[in-house]
Amino acid sequence: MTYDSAEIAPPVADDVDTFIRLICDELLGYFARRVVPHEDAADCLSETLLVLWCKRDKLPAAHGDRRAWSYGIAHRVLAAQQRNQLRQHSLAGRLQEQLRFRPLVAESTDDAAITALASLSIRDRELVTLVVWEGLTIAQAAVVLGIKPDAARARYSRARRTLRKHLSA
Amino acid sequence: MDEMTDDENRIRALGQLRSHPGAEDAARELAVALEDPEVRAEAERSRGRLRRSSIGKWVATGSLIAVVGVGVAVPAAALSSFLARTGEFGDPTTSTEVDESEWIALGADDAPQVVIDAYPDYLTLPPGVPRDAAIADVSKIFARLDAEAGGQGLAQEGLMASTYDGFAICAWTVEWLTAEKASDADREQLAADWLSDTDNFRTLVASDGGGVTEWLMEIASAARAGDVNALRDFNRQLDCVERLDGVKR
Repeated sequence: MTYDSAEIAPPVADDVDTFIRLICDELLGYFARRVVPHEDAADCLSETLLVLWCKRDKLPAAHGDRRAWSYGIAHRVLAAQQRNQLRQHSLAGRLQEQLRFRPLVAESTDDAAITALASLSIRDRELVTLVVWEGLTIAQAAVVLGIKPDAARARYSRARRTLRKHLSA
Repeated sequence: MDEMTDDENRIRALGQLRSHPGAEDAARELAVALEDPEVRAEAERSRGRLRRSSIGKWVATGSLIAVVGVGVAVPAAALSSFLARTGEFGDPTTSTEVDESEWIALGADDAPQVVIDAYPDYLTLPPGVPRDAAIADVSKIFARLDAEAGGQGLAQEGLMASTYDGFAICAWTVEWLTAEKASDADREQLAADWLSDTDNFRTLVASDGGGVTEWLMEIASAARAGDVNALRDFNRQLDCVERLDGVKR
């Protein structure tokens, strides 16, 4: 299974359906880490895949750019989920059942790390987690968040300093 | 990227996921199902129905606010020294709406002034509806959305202009209904003409990711055809009475 960003190989998928099959596990991981209740990750994934299909003409050519672009869509779908504006997908029923009873997110006892992450601003937190959880480069995460790469790098450095301060205390 | 630091590795560990073949299979099944154009077409139809029902809310309340992230809330006071203008701009390639305008921190001290400044120069309101009524309405909407976001609300400046457009659409809809009730054909025609010209609510149209303009044009057609029920229904969907509360007509 390829949820762990460190295990993500960069296969190049020329056709849309192959790319979407490759990215769907990653995107499920993205939502599983962020969506409460857990089973709503199924609706988020379904909506994201549907948008990917709808906008497939705009799919970038390079694999890294495709991933970043797909996470950009996922990012917007997540915002919609948090506004309770996501529809229920009948297609996602089986996945919902799986996630309801067996959540994917591992529990952690590293309270200091949880507190350090929570101390970041919401936007810095999303930037950091896109990089360390989803394996995007800072420049790709900048695309997802709609900010300039230089601004993302500055934010990332600041977030690193904040994490250091909390975790070395 | 450089090697991850120990701190980053600890954060990374928080995001580790359990292996779960059942979920993997179900996710793959979903992806494969969506490869079928007929399945996607049906999903799109269902999506369109939802979109239509939520568009009214969007036009009415500017509810497309971005509140990114969940988890431990930062106290609203922590934002109070921030300036509203974030220096970050929307990227249409990552959005279902088309809006490249700046993100505004709604909890900042100067955010109310940004909302006032977002009043579009081109906006025309019906006789008897003052500019201040629009500003009061839009300010109230963004203040409420920020409160709902625990003082961490973010919204694009374009959304503010769109929300002003929504107010004007409401005002002209009420103007049409008032004129129709008074059998004032000239006023009714003026309101129908205004609703038919997309240039009058150009920010809303420019940021339309699909469906909004089409829906508004249906309403304009109904106004030209004298369809009172359609206009009343539209009026209700947009909460126009509430938005024009306090405007003496």
